Amino acid sequence: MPYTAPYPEPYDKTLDNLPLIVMEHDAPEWFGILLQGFDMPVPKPCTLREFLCELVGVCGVYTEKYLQTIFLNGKAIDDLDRAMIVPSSRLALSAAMPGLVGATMRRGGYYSRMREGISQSRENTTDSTEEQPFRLQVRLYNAVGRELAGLFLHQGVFVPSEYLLKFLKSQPPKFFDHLHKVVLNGTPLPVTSSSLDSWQLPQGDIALRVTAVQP
Amino acid sequence: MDKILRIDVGAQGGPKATVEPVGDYAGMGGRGMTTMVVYKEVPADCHPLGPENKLVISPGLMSGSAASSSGRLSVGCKSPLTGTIKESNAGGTAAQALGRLGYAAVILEGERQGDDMYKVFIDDQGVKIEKANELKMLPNYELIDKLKPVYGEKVSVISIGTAGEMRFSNSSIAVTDPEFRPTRHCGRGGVGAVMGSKGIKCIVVDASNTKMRQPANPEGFKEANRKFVEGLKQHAVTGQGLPTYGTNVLTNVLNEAGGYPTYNFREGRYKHHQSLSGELQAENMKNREGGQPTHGCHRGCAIQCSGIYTDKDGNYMTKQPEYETVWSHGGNCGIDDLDVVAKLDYLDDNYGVDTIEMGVTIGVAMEAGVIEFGDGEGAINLVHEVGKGTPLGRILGAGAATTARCYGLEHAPVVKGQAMPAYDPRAVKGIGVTYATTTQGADHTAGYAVATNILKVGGDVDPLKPEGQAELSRNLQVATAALDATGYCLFIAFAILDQPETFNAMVDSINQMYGLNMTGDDVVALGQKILKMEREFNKKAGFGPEHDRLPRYFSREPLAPHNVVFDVSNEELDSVYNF
Ligand code: SF4
Repeated sequence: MPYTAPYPEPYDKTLDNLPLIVMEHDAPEWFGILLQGFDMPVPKPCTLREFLCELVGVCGVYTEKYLQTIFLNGKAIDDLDRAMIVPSSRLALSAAMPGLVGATMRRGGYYSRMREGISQSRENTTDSTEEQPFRLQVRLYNAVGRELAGLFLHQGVFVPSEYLLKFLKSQPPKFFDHLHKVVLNGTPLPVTSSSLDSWQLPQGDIALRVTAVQP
Repeated sequence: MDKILRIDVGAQGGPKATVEPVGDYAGMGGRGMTTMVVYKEVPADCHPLGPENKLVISPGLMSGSAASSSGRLSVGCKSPLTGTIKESNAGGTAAQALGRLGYAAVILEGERQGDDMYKVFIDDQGVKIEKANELKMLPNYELIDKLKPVYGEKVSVISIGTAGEMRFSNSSIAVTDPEFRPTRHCGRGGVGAVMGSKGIKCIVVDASNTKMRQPANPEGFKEANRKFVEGLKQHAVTGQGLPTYGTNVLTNVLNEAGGYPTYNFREGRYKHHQSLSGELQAENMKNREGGQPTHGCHRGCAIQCSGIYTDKDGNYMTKQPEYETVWSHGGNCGIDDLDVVAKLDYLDDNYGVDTIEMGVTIGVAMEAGVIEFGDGEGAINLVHEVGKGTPLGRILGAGAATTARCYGLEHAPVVKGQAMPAYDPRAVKGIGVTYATTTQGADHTAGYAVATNILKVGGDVDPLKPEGQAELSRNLQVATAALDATGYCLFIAFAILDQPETFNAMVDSINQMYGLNMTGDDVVALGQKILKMEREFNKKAGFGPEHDRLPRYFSREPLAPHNVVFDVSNEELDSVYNF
């Protein structure tokens, strides 16, 4: 199901004060850049529902109907309101999966009993009282990746700069036809594929935000 | 489908065909038919490659009709790999063709005389059997190339490759797809060896002069099938996930769950899983010349989970490798290259071996030090050794359990001699219950996500009860046995699980086809009947509850990252067959 609601305002404007790349692209099918996983800023520990719904903007029917397979630290999640996002958490979001294992992994599914041992239970939810900002590792898989990549990119993610460059270099020319603007910390960068080598990106992680083309 | 074709391979002057009415086997199809014939006609204590064993080939009850996704073909016998009863099924076009010709089963029986190989030709005019020594020891693709100029591309072929001819315990029976490629395999249990032991290289089925099977109530059937297809199309898994990504969409998710067996079931996560993912595979098929990410294994499948996989230059490599194949040759062997996996899949199909058994066997050989984990080139060479029948190849062709025995290893991830599929039973324990207790040896399809909650198999189940795993597994196994008899593909399971109206439309399609009034209870009764016959056969073949176990090391060695062991009690395992 495509995500149709207007994207909410990004919840974290500072993005950890990392060097920020903002790109304007008219058809950002950017799942590729998120394939290897990425980090997100989280202002303080919260439930999974708070993170998805209140911060990122993944809410309502989409969450209930399409976000059917969720792992937090490798544990299958049944209850969004009990699963806590805390420092060093790793979150993976997926659509419903085929087969018995798909049914078994499914949120609140009839066969969830069959994955006893890798489900998050009340006992192994961690309460964290430290109200500090931290980073969350996120992975988006299959249809969920295609559908939500734009939203997560709009919010802003952290990726290693060398990975971003590698991704851009692997893109076909038509990708650059739709790329209108790239700004690094307020300074415009050239937007052709041949100019990528001239980009002076800082080493390590950078913040990346992709917006639709501004009118 | 009111007749049975028996081929006595021991008849004087060469194999002889007899057609008889379906008789006592009326109402049976697919696994129902194969199980009942083996149960009634094969002595359980026979040698699987001996004259007393029979190979039963049966289209599902709905095969050959217009019912969507109903082209599964079942093959049954006593298994050379497990020693138990076996039903192995595949898609492809042959079930539809046999169904349209009216055959409820083809049974190969008797004692082969001499070394000649034969080919069988079946059309609306009857059956012809000819000596075909020129086809001897041809791998499946080359066999099809030889048959093409003789029969054209509209026929269906059921065949064995070199592994089946050499009667390896890991050998499959291939079925051609709509492109006339031998890509669909009854893979599990070494059924190809039984066909080889009967001296039959291939069965060519030509249904071009026949029509689709007509339902008893055409209007009612049309309406029920329409609703059924609508249900498949609108469901997220059957309408979107499977057509877009195929079954390999599971790689990332299983890895995330820590249940992706890696390095011969040593770890539950593979660090290069992204390089093997369904998402990447779909991109390759979309972007490469000639690739096709959405494709059916037979005409009339509304789901189309399959695809055509090409190399970087657009040359055909193989059909879209399935999740189990990508895993068995990929993460299980530490090989992180989808193109190498595709090559291995092609070779498996060509020589005619099961991809799960072959991949797990290579994993065992890697642990034994025959080649290194991650050695893609080495893995390709090992499959060639199998296909050519070298001394090493003969060991590997006997499957994972034998290979582990030959190299003195405990780590053989098998149950009743059959390799486990792509889900580690320590992380997903309910699957472990099914692996341990199914009549078929370790098998993930024996307990699939069929609508047990709708069927209420064995009453209402509380999945949170302590003994829930055994109960769930039992219900799944019952429901799956019934579904395997219909010819419907197991992948319809999700849609019928979630959408009661789709389940009802499926049952209604069967009723309208046969003029019956079946209810969910009848479906359950059929599943139970099939399982009871299988269980009984296995008991007579010497299998008791003590064989319904996983290898002990799964209870002893924790699996990272969750550090879990398989700890479902024996009492619970033994309760699966309480019905
Ligand atoms: S869903 Fe896949 S395996 Fe099943 S019938 Fe369709 S194409 Fe064949």
